[in-house]
Amino acid sequence: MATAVLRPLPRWTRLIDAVTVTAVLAAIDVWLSGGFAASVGPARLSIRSPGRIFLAAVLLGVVRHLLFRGEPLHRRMQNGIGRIRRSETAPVVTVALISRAAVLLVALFAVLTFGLSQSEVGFTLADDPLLNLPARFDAGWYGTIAQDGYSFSGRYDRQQNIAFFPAFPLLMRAAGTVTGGFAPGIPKPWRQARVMWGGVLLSIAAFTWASVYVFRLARDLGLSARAHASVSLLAAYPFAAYYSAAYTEGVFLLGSVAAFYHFRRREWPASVLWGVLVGLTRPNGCFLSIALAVLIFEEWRRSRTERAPYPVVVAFAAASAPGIGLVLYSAYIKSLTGSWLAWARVQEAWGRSFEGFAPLERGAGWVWNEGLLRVVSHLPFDALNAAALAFAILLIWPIWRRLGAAWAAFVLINIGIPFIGGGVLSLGRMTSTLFPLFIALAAILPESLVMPVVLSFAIAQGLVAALFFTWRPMF
Amino acid sequence: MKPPWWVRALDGAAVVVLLLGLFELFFGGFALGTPPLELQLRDPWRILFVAAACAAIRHAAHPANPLHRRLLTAVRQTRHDLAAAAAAAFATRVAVLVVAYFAVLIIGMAQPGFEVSGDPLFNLPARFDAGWYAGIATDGYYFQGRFDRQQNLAFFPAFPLLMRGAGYLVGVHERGVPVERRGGRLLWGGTFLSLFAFAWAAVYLVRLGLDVGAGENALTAAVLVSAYPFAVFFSAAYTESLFLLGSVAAFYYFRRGQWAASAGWGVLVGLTRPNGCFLSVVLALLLVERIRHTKSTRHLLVPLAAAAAPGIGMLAFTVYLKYLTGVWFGWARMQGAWGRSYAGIEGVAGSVGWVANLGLVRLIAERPVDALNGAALIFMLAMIWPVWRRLGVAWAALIGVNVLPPLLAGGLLSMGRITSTLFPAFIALAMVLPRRALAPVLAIFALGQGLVAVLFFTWRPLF
Repeated sequence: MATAVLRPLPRWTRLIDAVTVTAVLAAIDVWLSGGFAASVGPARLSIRSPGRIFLAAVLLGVVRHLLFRGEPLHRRMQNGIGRIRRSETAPVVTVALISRAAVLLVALFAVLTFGLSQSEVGFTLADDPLLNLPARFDAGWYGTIAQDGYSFSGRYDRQQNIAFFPAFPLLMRAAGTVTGGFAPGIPKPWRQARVMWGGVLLSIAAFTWASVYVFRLARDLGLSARAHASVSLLAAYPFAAYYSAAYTEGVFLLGSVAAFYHFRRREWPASVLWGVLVGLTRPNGCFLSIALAVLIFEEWRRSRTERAPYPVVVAFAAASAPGIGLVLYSAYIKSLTGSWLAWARVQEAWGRSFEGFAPLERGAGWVWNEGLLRVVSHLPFDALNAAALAFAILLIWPIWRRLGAAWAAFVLINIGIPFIGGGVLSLGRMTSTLFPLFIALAAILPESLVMPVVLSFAIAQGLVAALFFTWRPMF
Repeated sequence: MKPPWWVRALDGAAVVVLLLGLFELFFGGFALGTPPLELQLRDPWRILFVAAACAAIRHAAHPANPLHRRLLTAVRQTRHDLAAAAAAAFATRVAVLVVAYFAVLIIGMAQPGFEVSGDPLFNLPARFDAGWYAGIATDGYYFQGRFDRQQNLAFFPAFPLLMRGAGYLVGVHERGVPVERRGGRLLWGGTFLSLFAFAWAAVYLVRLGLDVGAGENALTAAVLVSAYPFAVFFSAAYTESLFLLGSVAAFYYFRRGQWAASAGWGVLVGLTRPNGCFLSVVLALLLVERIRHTKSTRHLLVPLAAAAAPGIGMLAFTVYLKYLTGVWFGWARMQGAWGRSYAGIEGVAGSVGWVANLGLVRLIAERPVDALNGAALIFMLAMIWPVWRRLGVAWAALIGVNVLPPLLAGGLLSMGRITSTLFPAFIALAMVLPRRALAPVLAIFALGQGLVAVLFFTWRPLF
């Protein structure tokens, strides 16, 4: 029986194919968004005509197929899609994407059915509820940074955008270009809305990528049978609603889990890059350095019995990357405001100031005096955030036992410091990015309980999505 | 070795009395019946003492195979898929109630039709039709002599009767309890009844799925029905849980040829909702399929009687209402007071006309509740073919007869709630859904259920 031998695809052919596909996608994007114009130094780049780009793509395709007819582009794409669908991470990607889209759908119906909280609406960019959907709470700050950069008014008692770290708005700017946020001839609020939709797409993409990392990390930890459950729990978690918003949670989760993943595998450059991204994403990103340092210590202890130790200098350098990200932003802020820690000082304008364990004392006092149900009925948002805090605290021991001290430290630092800085404010959102919670929960839950927990989480996420997107102060 | 009958009886008594004592400890005492034939249960400690005494006598007389070991063995022997189905059913119901409570606290109510308490938690089950059921459970049926006003005889009696029974356990009939508090307790009794019936229905659904060769997809079917956006109504003092339980159980026993059990459940279905009687048509079709398969028409009388049971249930209620109102099918005439009157195909054409005139996006923006009900209808219609192909014509007919009459009479009104009980769609969906698509579907369903819970429990008109 004859066996067909395919000629290997030359590198230039693969390159032309990639450029062709990119050009087609760009043409569709320009057609939908109106294109954009940008200046890089003296050079000006203006892309506004989808027809020209499409024509260029067609010409490239024709030339490629005239020169090399074997394995045409459409078949390569079919094969590529087939490979992706068959890959073990395909279900992970599907869950991540569909759950995010479902949150947006729930959000839209929430806005249409019971409407925005009129007393809380901070800003509106469009009358159309769909276009205006991502315009919620802090997304406005990220949108202004993405469009106009940082500004400082010279005082710290007013809310200003220097409190927000730059990685997400920078990436949002790039994503906003794709969604038509910089298209000419469009009113500014519409452009802002488009930039925010860019932020939403960025969040969803980052969450999807992060889910793949969580899956791989769980598998690396010997929890192959529970890797899918980890991702399902992460995607269903009530406060995962923020991964469908133009918020930093998606990028922060991606950076943290990727840094952990590559660090454990001793892939230092990748870990450093992800670490710097985490440090540049949120104020608490720098704490990842501590968790990674504990990981070095754990490996050092284990190396005495099991495996070779980390190369100490390289490992510590990689562990310090999130801290370096923070220092980089602090240096920039110093040039803007004259203070290294201006981003920290301005936090007070949001009601965050160091109170130690006073919030805990206060909360316990309320519960003691008035009873739990009464406190819940008076402070429902705090109750929801406190439930998230209790969930995280309860899982610290299983995390320590199943995964190790570094993972528990990561959780503890990321809930402990915000708690003593601002009580339970936003703790639900913050716990959503603490991936060790979900890996450990998947590991300890009996199999028959995984689905009930996932479904209960997802039902509650419907509530959180409805609250957040209708401007109820669930941020 | 199996213990003697009296040991089993004492064990059973100890467990029942223990549960009764715990219930009383949490919900307060109650009295059954009226003087002089009245059973008062007011002191939980006495009841717990009786339970302990039963157990002590049993273990003194027969120490072998103690009660705790028998219970543990029973738990261990419970099949994994049945336990998982019940766990999914129960966990999702509790999650819906938690979501509902927070929605009321944060978003607040739209325009409540009635309230039984200022406490949002106690008042939680006081929503829409639940009030009618509580009214029937408390005071029975009444008739004002006219059919153009909403009256409780539009509601079938099985659920309120059982709700009355559940009310005893939650202290409804305790002396000295104010009327409104009684109403609240009764509604909570109805909610617990719904939760229990739904968990039981989920177990039957798994068994039925296994019987039709769904294999591991049988459990998936139970999970899908628990996650379905409109499964919210299984957490309310509504008839949906009981209707689902009765329908699945009647189907299950009918297929197995256990006619008495099927008839019992069938009568319950017929007494639960107006559309319950349609189950007779479906069971008759199932019988026809059986005859075609076996090519035998002998011994048909008993199966036909079992198939007729849901219709008999409906007729029993109809006879009762004839006695009360002097009119046959008074419950059907009353539907007009709820805006349900036969509009035929014109009503459906009207809905299609909206889409044509407004466009889909604008229609969703202007009539979001109709859009949600419309999505449920489309889902169900889309499932008819897979149900027919995988399960048979009778199962598809169950969907058809339960969807079309309400559609022709009331358009999209309550279509989401109606579809939540149509179990063949969930079994078929579990069978046709690729494994990789299950998690995304569950995500959409469960998130949607969160939204529907918010809408229903804050009195937005999604009922």
